[in-house]
Formats: sequence, C-alpha cells, structure tokens
Amino acid sequence: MSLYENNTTNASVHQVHHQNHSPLIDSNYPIFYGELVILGYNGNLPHGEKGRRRSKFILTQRNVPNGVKKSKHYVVKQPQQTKAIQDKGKHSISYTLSRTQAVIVEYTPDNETDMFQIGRSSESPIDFVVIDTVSPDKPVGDTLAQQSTISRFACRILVERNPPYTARIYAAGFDSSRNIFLGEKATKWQHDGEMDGLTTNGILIMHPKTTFCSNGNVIDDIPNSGQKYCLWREVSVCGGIYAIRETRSASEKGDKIDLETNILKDGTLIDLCGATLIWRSAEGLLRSPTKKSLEDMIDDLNAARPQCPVGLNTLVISRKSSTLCEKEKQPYVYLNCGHVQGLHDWGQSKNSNARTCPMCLSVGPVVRLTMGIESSFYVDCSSPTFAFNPCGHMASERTVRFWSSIAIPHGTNGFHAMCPFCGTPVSGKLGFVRLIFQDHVD
Amino acid sequence: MSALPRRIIKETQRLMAEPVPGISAVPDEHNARYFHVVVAGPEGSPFDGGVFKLELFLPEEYPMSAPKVRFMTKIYHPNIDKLGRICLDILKDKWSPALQIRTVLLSIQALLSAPNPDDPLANDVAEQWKVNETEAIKTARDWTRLYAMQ
Repeated sequence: MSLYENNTTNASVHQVHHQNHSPLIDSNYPIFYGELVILGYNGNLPHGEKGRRRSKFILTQRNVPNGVKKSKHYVVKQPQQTKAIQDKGKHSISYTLSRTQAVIVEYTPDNETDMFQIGRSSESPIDFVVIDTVSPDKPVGDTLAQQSTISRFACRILVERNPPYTARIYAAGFDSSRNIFLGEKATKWQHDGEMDGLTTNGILIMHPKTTFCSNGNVIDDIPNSGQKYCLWREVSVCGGIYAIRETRSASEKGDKIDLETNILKDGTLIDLCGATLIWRSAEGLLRSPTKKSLEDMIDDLNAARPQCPVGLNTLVISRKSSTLCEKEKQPYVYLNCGHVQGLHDWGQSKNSNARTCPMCLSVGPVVRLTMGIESSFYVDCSSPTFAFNPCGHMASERTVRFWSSIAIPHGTNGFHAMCPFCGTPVSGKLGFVRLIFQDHVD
Repeated sequence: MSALPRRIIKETQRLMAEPVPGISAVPDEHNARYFHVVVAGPEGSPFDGGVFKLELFLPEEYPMSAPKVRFMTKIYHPNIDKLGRICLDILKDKWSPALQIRTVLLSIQALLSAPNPDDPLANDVAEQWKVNETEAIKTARDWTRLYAMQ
C-alpha cells in the first residue's frame, strides 16, 4: 500500500484508532468532541430541552466538514457593495475602519475543521442558542426589564477533525449571510498586516489551572484567594488572547497575552456576557462521574437511612432535581451548621427566615436539599455530601470548593462565585456547608 | 384526643426494647403520653441505693415543647423542690426537639450525680449544700433511706 492510498483512508483509520481508547466512541456514531454546558441549569432547561435550545450542546464530528480558514484580505470603500459580502455562500469578516474604508477578510472552506456557532439568535447558523441565564435570586420583575447582553452571533468554535480534536474558540459568529461585521465603533486593530477585533461585550474565557476533573488525583492546590485563580481573558475575533478590558465593553483592548491560547481545555469556562458555558472535552468526561454514578451515590446515602432527629422519620434524597419527594421525606439543611433534618417549624424566628437548629442551637437559614445532578460540573467522583449555601444543591466537597472559589462574570460589571446548578451567588463564609446526616436516632 | 404521633410511638418502642441502664419508663395503660418512670440513684451519689419514682408527661405540642417531668418520691437535692419540680435547663429554655424522653431521663440521672447548688430550686437545700456540704450529703442519704427504699 502506498503512502498516498493510506492518506485516502484517513478518516476511517482515525475512527478505528479512537475507538480503541475511548468507550464513548462507537463506529455507528459520529466522533464525540466534547460538550458545552450552560452554568445555572441542573441537567435541563426549566421548560425542557428543545432543538437548539438546551442546557447542554454535544459537539460531534460533522458528516461534511464545515470549518473555514482565513484567505485573502483587501481594502474596499463600500463593504456592502463588495462581492464577498454579497455572496451568501462565502464567509467573510468586514472590519469597518471609517465610512469610506473597510478591510474585507475572506474565509475559505477548511476540510480539516468543523465549525460550531453559539449565540442568542435562533437563525440557522447558530448551532447552540443561548439565552441569558437568569439568577434565581433576582425578583421576577427585575429580570423582565433586563435586556439581553448576549450577542446574537456570539462566538464560534473550530474543532480539528483529526485527533486530538483540538478545539479553538473565536469571538463573533457568522450570520445568515456568512458575514461578520465589525462596525466603525468596534475595537479593532491591525497587526503584522492582519486585522483583528473585539465584539461589543466580548467573549471571555478562563482555562483551568490544573486538570479540571482529575478523579481523585491531586488537585488540592486551589488557592484561598479567589483572585489568583480567576484569570479571565478575552478572546478576539481571530482567536488572540488579551487581558480583560477595564470594563466589559470599553473601547480599549487589554494587553496581549502571548503565552496563552484560544485552545479549549477540559473545564475551560466561556463567558458570553449573560451566560457562562463550560467546555468538557470527550477525554475529560471519561474521568467525570456519570448521571448513573451520581444516582448510585444518592442510593448509597439513602441506604444509610438518614433520619430527621425531630420527626424520627427516614429522609429520602430525591434522585431527580425537579420532582419533589414526599413532603415528609424531603431533607432540609440548616445552612450554618449543616445538620440535615425534615421540615418542621421549631425554632423559627418571628422577624427573619432564620431558624434555630435543634441539634446545635445555632441560628441560620434552612433550605431544601436538591441533588446537583448535572455531572459535567463535578470535579471528582466523590459522594455529594456537601451543599452550596444558600441554594442547597448537593455536590462533592471538591466540587463545592471549586465553584465557590471561581469568580464568574456577572452581568456587564463585577464577578461572583455561584452554584453551577442554579446560578445563585454563593453566600456565607465559605459558600458551602458540609452535610451532617443523623442515622439511628430512634 | 388526637392520634399519637409517630415520633412518640417510635420513642416508646425503643424505650421498651432498649431501656437506659438504671432507668425504666413505662407508658400508662390509659394514657400513652403519661409515663411512669423509675430512676435508680447513681452509684457514688448520696442517692445510691434509692429508687426514685417520677412522672413524665408529653404535652400536646411535644416534641416542639419539652416533656413535663416531676419527682414523685421525696428527694433532698438543691435542684429539686418539695413538689418534685426539677430545675434543668433542657426542660425549659434549652429544650430542643432533637432531645428525647431518653435524653431527658439521662440528664436527670446525671443531675443526681452532680447537684448544682449555684442554680438552685430548693433554696434551703442549696444553702445547706454550700454552707455544709458534708451535712447536706448526710441529709440526702437519710432522705434516700427514708423515702426511696421500700
């Protein structure tokens, strides 16, 4: 067999090769690249997963490659009149420099990559439609008035079709006419003869410092100061990495960070300004717990027959995030101390939501326990014996410690750590609590 | 009368199945909320050898409020008065519904081992306990012999 012949069978060779070391790959299914999960949802959108609107988007190899790569660029006076812009079959980016001058960069098909686009638009070029995540701690009226800050064509991800399936992220997505327009006011610049720019609210990314989910291997060097960990960067339209701007949509770009890349790592966070996504690679997910393994862990916790020390009845943790279990069996946690009990109204103070814990007499809020069932947010496979404060979503110790230490962009200004299962900003000294179950109290 | 809450049934069952050493608590045959309690005087205390009868009643709000407990047997103790009322924080402001009949009776047993004259209920007894402890302990022994031994 000649070398040439070998090349022609490239695709099938790789498929077989990958099958050997990944149980996720079946030759009947397309190659699985990874997934994007929106922070703030516990396995599904509140109104269900529909079409391109869901809480999680699975990236698999396209039947036909649809990636694009940069080709020629030139200066024009009227971009709208340019052939590349008018040609709906041709990808191009137009950088408007002034009313009478624009740079057009043409893109040509790239058989080596697959492209996936993310944005608020429900038009067909968007593969993953993402609407602003509403923090459940906000009053409803407040959110209705809020305008979306997510771009209709927010960003695009290009994945190499050959192993190791490197995925790169770029700000801005091509619209239905396969164009990206950076208007007169957009931040843009020329470097070594190449144009680049930023979108209005920008796309921020944060790579994990170490392996995101090491499944028991050492990841304990999470620093106490959240600041050190939170190195959010901005990615440009051409995939360059920059320090974040002074404010989210400031016209001045940040400093170029030469040592970092736009290559997504397992656990890279992507902020669209209004919603934050996490990238989980196919390889990383192999080390993560599955929904099934999380359900088994709940069964183990329930098998110990935790009891309410007041009602002396057995409590049952629900395996599903949405279904309410029988009222009497539903566990609640006292957020200051972590004691898990059934619902009762002893120790309720008249003027606040606070209650006295019957076990230790400490005073604090009480919340219903809900399993954090979205396994992609777990950083290890340990039992979910901790819960976020104040929402009560259960997860493993490392998982709650990790998310409580990560500052996530919040609106157009500020950052806060939040529960990845519901988006509620964490509170209390730590942001989470160790659950204390009682058994055999009767 | 309303049906007996599950919690009271469970507590009663366990008290019967696994009694606390030195304590017996038996529900009244006509009133499941009323318990006939017998506590043995702890070893090494002036009440050693005595058998003390108490009554314990679970009010309607139990376990959201404390059981009512009273000594029926006369006892010379700074924290227990002539009427048998007991000065014990968990029966008052330190009550918690996580406590049970079992824990209450254990606390009363402990109170017999460690009288606390600084938080008295029977003032005369407490005074004697502070001024002349030897004499107080002797009186307590005498009372035990007189009233708590049949």
